[in-house]
Amino acid sequence: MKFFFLSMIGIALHSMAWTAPLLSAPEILFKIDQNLTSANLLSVSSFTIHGSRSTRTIKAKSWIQGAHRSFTEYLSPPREKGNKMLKLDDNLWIYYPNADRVIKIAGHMLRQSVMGSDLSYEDMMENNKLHEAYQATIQKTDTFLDRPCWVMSLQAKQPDQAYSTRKVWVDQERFITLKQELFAKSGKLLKRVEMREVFLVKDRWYPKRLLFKDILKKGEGTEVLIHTIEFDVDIPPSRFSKASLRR
Amino acid sequence: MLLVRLAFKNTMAAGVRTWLNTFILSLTFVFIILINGIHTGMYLQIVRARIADELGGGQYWHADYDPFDPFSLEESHAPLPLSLQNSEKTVPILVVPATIYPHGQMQSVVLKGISPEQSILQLPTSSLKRSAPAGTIPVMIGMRMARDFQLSEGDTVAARWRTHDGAFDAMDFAIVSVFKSDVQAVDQGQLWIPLENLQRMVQTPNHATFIVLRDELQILPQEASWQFHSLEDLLADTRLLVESKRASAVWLYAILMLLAMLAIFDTQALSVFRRHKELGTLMALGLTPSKVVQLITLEGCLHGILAAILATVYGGPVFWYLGAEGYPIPVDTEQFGLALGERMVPVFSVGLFAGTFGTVMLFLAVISYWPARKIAKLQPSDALRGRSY
Amino acid sequence: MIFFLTKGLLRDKYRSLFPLIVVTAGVALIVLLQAWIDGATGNMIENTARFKTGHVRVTTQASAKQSRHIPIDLSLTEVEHWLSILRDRHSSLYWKARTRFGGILDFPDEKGETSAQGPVVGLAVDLLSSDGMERNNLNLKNALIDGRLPRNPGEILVSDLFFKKLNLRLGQSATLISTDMEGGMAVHNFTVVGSINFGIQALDRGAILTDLTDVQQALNMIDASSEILGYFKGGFYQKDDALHIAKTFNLQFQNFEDLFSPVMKTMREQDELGKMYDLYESMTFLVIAAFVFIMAIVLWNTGLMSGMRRYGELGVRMALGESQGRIYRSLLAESLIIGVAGSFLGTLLALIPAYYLQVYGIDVSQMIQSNQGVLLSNVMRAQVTPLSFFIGFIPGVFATFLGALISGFGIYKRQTAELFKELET
Repeated sequence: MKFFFLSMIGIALHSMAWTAPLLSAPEILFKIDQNLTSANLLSVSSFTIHGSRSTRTIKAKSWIQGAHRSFTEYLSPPREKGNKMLKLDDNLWIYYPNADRVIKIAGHMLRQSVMGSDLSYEDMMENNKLHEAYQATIQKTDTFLDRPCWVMSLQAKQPDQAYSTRKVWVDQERFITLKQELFAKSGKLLKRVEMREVFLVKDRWYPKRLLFKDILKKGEGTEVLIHTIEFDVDIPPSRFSKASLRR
Repeated sequence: MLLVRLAFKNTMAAGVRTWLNTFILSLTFVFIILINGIHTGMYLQIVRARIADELGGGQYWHADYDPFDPFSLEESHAPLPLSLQNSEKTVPILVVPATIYPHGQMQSVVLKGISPEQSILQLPTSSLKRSAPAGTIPVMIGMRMARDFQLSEGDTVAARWRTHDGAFDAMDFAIVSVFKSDVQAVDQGQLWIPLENLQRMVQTPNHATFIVLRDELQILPQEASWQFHSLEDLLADTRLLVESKRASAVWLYAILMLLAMLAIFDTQALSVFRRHKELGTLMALGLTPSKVVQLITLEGCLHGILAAILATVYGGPVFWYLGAEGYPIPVDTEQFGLALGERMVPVFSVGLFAGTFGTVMLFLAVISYWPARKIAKLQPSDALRGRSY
Repeated sequence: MIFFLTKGLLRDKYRSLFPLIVVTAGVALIVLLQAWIDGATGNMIENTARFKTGHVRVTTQASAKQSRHIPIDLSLTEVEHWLSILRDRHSSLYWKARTRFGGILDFPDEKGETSAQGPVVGLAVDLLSSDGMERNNLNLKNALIDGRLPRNPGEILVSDLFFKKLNLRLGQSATLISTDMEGGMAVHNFTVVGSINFGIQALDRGAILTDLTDVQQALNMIDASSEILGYFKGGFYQKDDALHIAKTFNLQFQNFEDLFSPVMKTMREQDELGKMYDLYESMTFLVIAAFVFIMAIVLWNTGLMSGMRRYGELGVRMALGESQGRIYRSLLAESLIIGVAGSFLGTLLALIPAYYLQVYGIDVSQMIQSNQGVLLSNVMRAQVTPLSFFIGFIPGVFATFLGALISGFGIYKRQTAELFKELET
C-alpha cells in the first residue's frame, strides 16, 4: 500500500507555486523531476480500495527520498499494522511481522494487484524521472478542475518503459499534473489518474485527494488521500536498508 | 479323429447343460473382447486427437520450456534455429503469458502464436485470416475457454501483456472463431493468435517456444537449446492413463473367467463321476486310459469352440456395428482427463480375438483335464462293475 | 425335518460338499465382483465428492457462478452460523467447512532468505477436531508418505512430489504467500510435518493441506470459508435426499439480490457430475446384473446335476415307499439349505478380501504425468456396500433352488424301477 504513495508522487507531479516564464516541454518535465528528486518526504496517507464486497481504507506512513528510495510502514487497519515495505531502485521487499519474514517481490508477483487495488506492484516499481524517461511535446491547452493546463504528450525514450506513452494535464501556474493517462505501446489507454483536490504545503502545491483507475478492470478505482506531508525532513540513510524492515 | 467325433457327440448329447456352459463361456468372450476393444479404441482416439490438435509428429521444446510452470514462460523462447525453419515440416509456436479482462475481470491466460497457414495441426488456424475489426487482433479460442469466460465469436476482449523489454502493451482481441477440440491442452486458459502478430506484439521476431514437427521420421539435428520430445514421450501420460483403466478391468475378466471355469469344472467333475460305466466300456473296447483322459478333456474344450461360434453369432454383429459406428458418450469425459469427443469407437483387432480365444482355451484345457486326470487310474473291470477308483 | 436333512447333508459328502463348494465359490465371486465394481466405478465419483463437490455443497451465489477456480474474496461469511443451522436441520449429514486457495510456498534458509519456493494449491479442512471426519474423508492416514498428520495449529502437509522436488525435510518452516479475502497480500508461517500422496495428479504436483482455522487466520477470513460441504452419514450419495435438502435450504435462504447469500447444490448439479453419476449407476447395475445372471446359470447347472446324480438314491427311497412329492420337497429343502449355507459362507469368504481391497486398494498406476487436470485416484478400491451382504443370496439361493426344482421333475417322470437302476452305476 505504501508503495502507492511513491507512485502517486511520480504520477501526480508537483511544482513550485509561481508561474514560470514560457518553458519548453522538456524544461517543464525537468522542473517537476527536480522538485521530486530533491524531496525528502515524510507523509501520512490513506488509500481507499473498493473490493467486491467491502470498501477498505488503509493508512500508511512513508519516508521517501527521490524517486528511487522509499520506506513505508502501515498504521492501520490492525491486520496490516506493522507491515513494512522497502523500495531500493528496482528491488521491492515486504516485511510481515506476523511471519517475521522479508519477502522479495519479484517475477510474476510483481504483476499482482496491491491489496486488491487498481495498482500493481509493477506500478510501484516505476522510477519516475520523467525528463530522463520521456520525450515531451505540448499539444494544446485545456482546463481541468477549473485550472488552465497544458496538455502534454510524453513518449518513452527507451523501449523498456512500462508505459510507452503518457498524456498529462499540467497546471500552468502550479506545475502539478492534474490528470494523467497512461497508455500501452499500442496506444490503448490502461490507467487514468485524476486529482480531486490539491493543497499548498509550505510553498509547494501537492495532491490532496486523487483517484487511480485501471481502465480495463471493472470497478470504482482506488482513492488516495494525503493527510500530512513534510518536506526536507532528515531521514537517516539506515532507514532505507533491509535491516530497518525488522526493526 | 475318432476321439473328436466322440467328444462332439457326447457334448451335443448333454443338451441343455452344454448350451448353458457354452452360453456362459460365450459371454466371457464377448465381454473381454468388448471391454478390451473399448480401451484400445479409447487410447487410439485420444492419441489421434492429441496428434491432430496438439502434438503433431513430435516436438522441439526450448530448453527452459515447462508447460506445467507458468512462471517459466516469459524466458523460455528463442529465435527459431535455422535447421528447424521449414514451413512444410514444422510449425513454430510462441507462448506468452498475458492478462485478459473478460467482462472487466482480470484473468491470467497464455497467448499462443501460430501461423494461420500451417497445415500440420488440425486446429482451424486458417480462421485467423478472417478480418477483425480495425484496431483489434484476431484470435481464436476453444469451446471450454469460451464457456469458462463467457466469450463467443464476434466478441472483443481487452488484453494486456508485456513486451520483451518489459513495457506494457494492450489491445483488444476480436474472437474470430471458437473451435471445438477434444484436447483440453489446446483450449483451456489460452488464446490462439497469428504468430507474426504475437511476435510483433512482444517484439521477439522469429521467436518460438516450441516447434511441432509434421512427422517423426524427419527428425532434425539436435540443437543445444532445443530439446527433442518424441511422440512416445509426449504420449506417455495418455498411455499410462488408459493402461491403468485397462488394468482395473482385468479383475472383471478374472472373475468372469472364474465363473465360467467353475461351470465347466462342475460339468467335467460330474461327467467323470457319472460316466464310470461308459468310460469303463470304452476302455474295455480298447481305448487306453490316456485316450479316455483326452476324450474328457476334449469334451471340455469343445465348449470353448462352441462358445466361440456362439459369441460370433450374437457378438459379431455387435462388434461390427460398434467398430464401424461407435456409440455416443453421454457425458463430458474431459473432466476425467480424457479427450474422447462425442462418440466412442471401440477398436477390435485379430490379435484381440485370437488372444482372448487362446487364453480362454488354455484355462479351459487345464480345467477340463483336472477332473479327468483320475480316470487314468481307473481299471476297466472296476469301472464296468460301477466301482469307484 | 430340517435337522434331519442337514444331518443327512453333513453325513453324505457327495450330496453336500461338492454343491456347497460350488455355491460358496460362486457367491464369493459375485460378492467380490460387486464390491469391486461398485468401488471402481464409484471411485471417481466419490473421489470427486470427497475432494471437491461434497454430497451437497454450500457456497455464495457469486462462487456458484464461477465455473473455474473460485476467488477467495467470494467466500461465504458467517460460516459458524450456517454450520449450526445446517447441523441442526439436516442431521443426516456431516457438515464441514473448507477453503481452497492458491499461493506460493516459500522456504527460508537460516537467514530467513528464500531458499526454495513453488506455486501451490491449498486445501484447508477441519484437520484438528477430534471427530476425525475430514481425516477420513481425505483418507489421510493412508495417503501419508512421510512424517505425521498435523496435531497442532500451524502444521501442514505437502504433496509428496512437491516435497521431494524441493528437497524439503520434516519440521521445516514454510511461508505461504497468498492473497487474503480483501485482496491484500497474506503471509503466514507454517511447519511442514508430513508429506502425502493425494492420488490426484493435479494436486500431487504441488498442494498443501492445512487446518481450516490456520487459513482463516492467514487469509483474514474471520468466520469465512470458500464452502461448506455436506456428507451423508451413511457414506454414500443419496440422490433424492440430497435434492430435497438442497431445495429446502435454497427456498429458505437463497436471496437472488445478494450475490453473497448462500446457495446449496447437490453433487449432481455441479459440473457434469449428474450425467456421470447416472451413467455409472446404470453401468454398474448392468454389469452386476449380467454377472448375477451368469452365476445363476452356473448354480442352476450345479443344482441340476446334484439332483441327477442322486436318481439312484431316490429310486431306493421310492422303493421303500416314500411318496414322490415328499422326496421332491426334501430335495428342494436340501437345496435351500445348501443355497443358504453356501451363500452365507461365500459372502463371508468374499467380504474378507473385499474389505482388504477397500482399505488398502491396489495402486494401478505410477504417477501419471499429464498436463490435463486428471481427477483420478491412482488407487483402485473395492467398496463393501449394503448390497454386498445380500447380492450373493440371489444366485446362491434362488438359482440352486431353481436347479433342484427342475432336476426334481425327473422324479415324477421316471418310474421307481428306472431310478433304482441308476443305483447300479
